Amino acid sequence: MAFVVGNRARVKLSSAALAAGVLCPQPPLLGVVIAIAGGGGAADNITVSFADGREVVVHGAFLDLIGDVASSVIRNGFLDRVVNGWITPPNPPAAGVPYMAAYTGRVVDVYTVDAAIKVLIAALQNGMFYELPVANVNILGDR
Amino acid sequence: MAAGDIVSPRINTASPSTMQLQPPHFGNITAHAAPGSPTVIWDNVNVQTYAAANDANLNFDVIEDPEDATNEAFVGQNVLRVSPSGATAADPAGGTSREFVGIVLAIYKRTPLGNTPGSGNDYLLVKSGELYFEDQATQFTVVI
Repeated sequence: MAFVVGNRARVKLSSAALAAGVLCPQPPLLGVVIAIAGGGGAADNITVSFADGREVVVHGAFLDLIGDVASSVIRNGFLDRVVNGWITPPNPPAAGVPYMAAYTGRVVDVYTVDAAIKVLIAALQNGMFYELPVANVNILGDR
Repeated sequence: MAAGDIVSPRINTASPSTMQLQPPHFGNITAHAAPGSPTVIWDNVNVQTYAAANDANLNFDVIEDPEDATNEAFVGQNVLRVSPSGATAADPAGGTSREFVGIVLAIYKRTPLGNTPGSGNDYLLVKSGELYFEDQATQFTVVI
């Protein structure tokens, strides 16, 4: 996956040894690609201007590509909604268990991370930012 | 340690934890040209090239996936740190005040840099109100 100028990006916090774990910076920090070297690939230098004003040059391998989700998906499904997480553990039959109510949160953002749709919530209880796969988000109709 | 590994400083020298960072930070090793001198891009976008005599002196832990059982036990849960020597012996949380019930923010394994991959302990990073605390998963109990 190659970066082009104008892409959104963030620091990659996954690896071959950390594939299932999720580390959520508090708060998340996104940036915009302002220059690329070569083809913008994993071994090419990518210059990113982050939202706090800093400019960083790093190989594409150490960045996640953040993308847009179709606006209808955001507006119809998530904008101004309160949601909770939904656990899909690796070993059924315990599948389909809701997260504890403390994870109930307002949708902060919906985006793709390397093409997978993610929903970023801020927990109502303490403002904690927490990112969930869209398939594991349950919209609460009564909130 | 290799480029692409996720690392975090090891501030706690004792286990269970005695110090609490607000919050802990994680970084991605972008280069490791020589022992003790990796370059890390941290989750707050700070980029730092280190100059230690060797990798062990860096006191970094490599962050890895937790055991499946730990993940299944704690993902999506509220937890309380166990304090078995506390004043309320019959309480599974011992002396830990209930105000410290927190939401699990992350579950991972910390393996000291240079040790066999996967040989470390599973940790939870928890947020309770504005307070972060991180400790071994064995130090927590799920609160229903």
